[in-house]
Amino acid sequence: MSTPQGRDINNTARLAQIRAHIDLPVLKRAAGLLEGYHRSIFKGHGQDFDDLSLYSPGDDVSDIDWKSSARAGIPIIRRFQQQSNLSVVLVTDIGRNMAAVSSGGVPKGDTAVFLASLVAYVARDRGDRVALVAGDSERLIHRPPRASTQDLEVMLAQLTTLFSVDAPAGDISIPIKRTLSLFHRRCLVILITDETRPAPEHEELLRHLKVRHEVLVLQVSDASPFVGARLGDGHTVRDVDRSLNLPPFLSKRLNIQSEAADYVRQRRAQSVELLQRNGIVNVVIDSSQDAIVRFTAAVRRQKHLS
Amino acid sequence: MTDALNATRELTWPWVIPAFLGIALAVIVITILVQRRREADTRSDDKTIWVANSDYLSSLPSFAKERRRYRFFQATGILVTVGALCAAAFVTAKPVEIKQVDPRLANRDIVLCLDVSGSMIAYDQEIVDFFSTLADSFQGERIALSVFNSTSRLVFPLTDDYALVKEQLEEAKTALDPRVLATSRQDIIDNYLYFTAGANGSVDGMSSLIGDGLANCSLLFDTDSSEERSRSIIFATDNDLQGEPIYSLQDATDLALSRNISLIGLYGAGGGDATSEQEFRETFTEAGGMYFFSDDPDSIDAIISDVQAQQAVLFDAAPIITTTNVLGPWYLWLIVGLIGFFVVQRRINE
Repeated sequence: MSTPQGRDINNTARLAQIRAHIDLPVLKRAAGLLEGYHRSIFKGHGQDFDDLSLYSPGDDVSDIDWKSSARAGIPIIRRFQQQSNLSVVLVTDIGRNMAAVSSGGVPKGDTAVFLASLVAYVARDRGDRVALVAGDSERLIHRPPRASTQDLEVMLAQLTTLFSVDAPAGDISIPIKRTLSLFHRRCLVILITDETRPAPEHEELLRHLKVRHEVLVLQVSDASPFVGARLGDGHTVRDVDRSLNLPPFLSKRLNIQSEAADYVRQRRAQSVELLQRNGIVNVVIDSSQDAIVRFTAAVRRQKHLS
Repeated sequence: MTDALNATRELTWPWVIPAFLGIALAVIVITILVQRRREADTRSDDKTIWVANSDYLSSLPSFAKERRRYRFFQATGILVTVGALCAAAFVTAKPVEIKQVDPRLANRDIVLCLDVSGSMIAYDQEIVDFFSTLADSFQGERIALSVFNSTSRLVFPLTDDYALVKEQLEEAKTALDPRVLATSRQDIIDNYLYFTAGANGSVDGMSSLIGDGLANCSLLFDTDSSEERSRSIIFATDNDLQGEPIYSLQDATDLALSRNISLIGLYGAGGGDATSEQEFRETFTEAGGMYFFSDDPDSIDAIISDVQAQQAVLFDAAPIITTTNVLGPWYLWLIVGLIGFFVVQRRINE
């Protein structure tokens, strides 16, 4: 998705946009996954029986309604209405690092907004309320939990305006701390940040967060600094946080590129390891193209984890 | 070219160097400023790709290594560029070599006066060698050679044709073979007789007419005095007078002095008795001339420098100043610097 299209997304209703994506044939499977695999936050182990549904791989075996399954000849699970509407908290990194380009080629902020929209769409469908805690090293924006479409649209529209390369440096500990102080009831906390965060220094905070809430980390991948060399054509690559002196002499070296790729792979593995250690599921997303598939896969994994 | 050749190097327009380098510096500074401004202006244009979290790059060993190479190339590039600029500045400032040619050198006339009497034969070869050495170390002087015994023979008149001088001195050396006194070899005797023909004209059996020889040599200089030239006679003899000369040594010396000729005496060592040696020395030193023994090899340098030093004060002509453009090393550095610049440029952009 190119930048102008990304701009279009910013100007139209975000939830409608998500619906358009989910209506796409290739994403039908994802829609099903969202219904079937999302953890009890949305559907699952409640007291009030909701409906019966076909078993899909990944469903909790204990949910299988054996009588119905025997009648139908195929595994069928029972689903229950969740007991109460839980809040979904979108903890979003809005530092200038999020205004950089993702490895999908679009600004990471666009992808972050898309992910927020996706979560908001699914939550609204369930009648869950969605709160926003967005912050960086200097700013902190908080919107209380709301369920209405209009409120969610306003929230997402506001989120869109926060990403800029001139923004303050990113610091996810600030919105996480605020989330901890604001939400005492159990929530689904969805942390939208980039692939270097949470860093090891955030582990303590994550542990606290994990104790109180369900946590899912959505990481938007970073574009390689060598993307300029690959594109050529007078593109200059600049780092939002520091001066990046990457002349063609350096950016065209294949040995540096492969070493950098190894490093990024290792860094991602470390990030996964850090989060897994704390029982947190994460997913790295390149752009809105792959967001739905990977998001639903992450949701499925999270269900398996707990 | 022994002396009197003052070659100094200087720049025709020395102010060009600071001006040139100043302009170059200004151009560089302006370029950098414009670049900065353009960079600031294009902070969010379509050609800028913003990335984040690229700090890991500097921790990569290959990156550090390549960056060191890059820095090296950059430093080399700057060095050769600055070098080329400096060289260009120097070439622009027009370096010249200013040569001060002293015309006194060319204004010197020297008559070599050689006694070829029997008593001197043993030393003549040595003295001829000495003359050759002298001739080698002069530039532009005119030299004449005259040999005398009872009469004088002019071997060659005043000339600056050094090839001829050399050739004649070689011939003299062959002819004045000391073996001629004791040999029966006809060729040696013939050589001697041929060379000294005209000098041995026996006048009543007299030989070694020293004063006549010197007087003859004194008359070898130009009579035309419109061109002022310094005059020297290098007079080699043993002062072993055998007969009645027209000019006594003293008379001949006075004649030479009256013609503004400076005298250099060269005594054929071991020849005659002490009285004649003393007379020779006294006459010459009293006349303000110099006096040496011919067998003193160390004296050659002393004679040359003494001759030149003495002659230098006699004349006070305006030196001839020539200026030559010397692009010399600067031009080479400019080319080397430019080639280096292109090589580095290519390496950096490869």
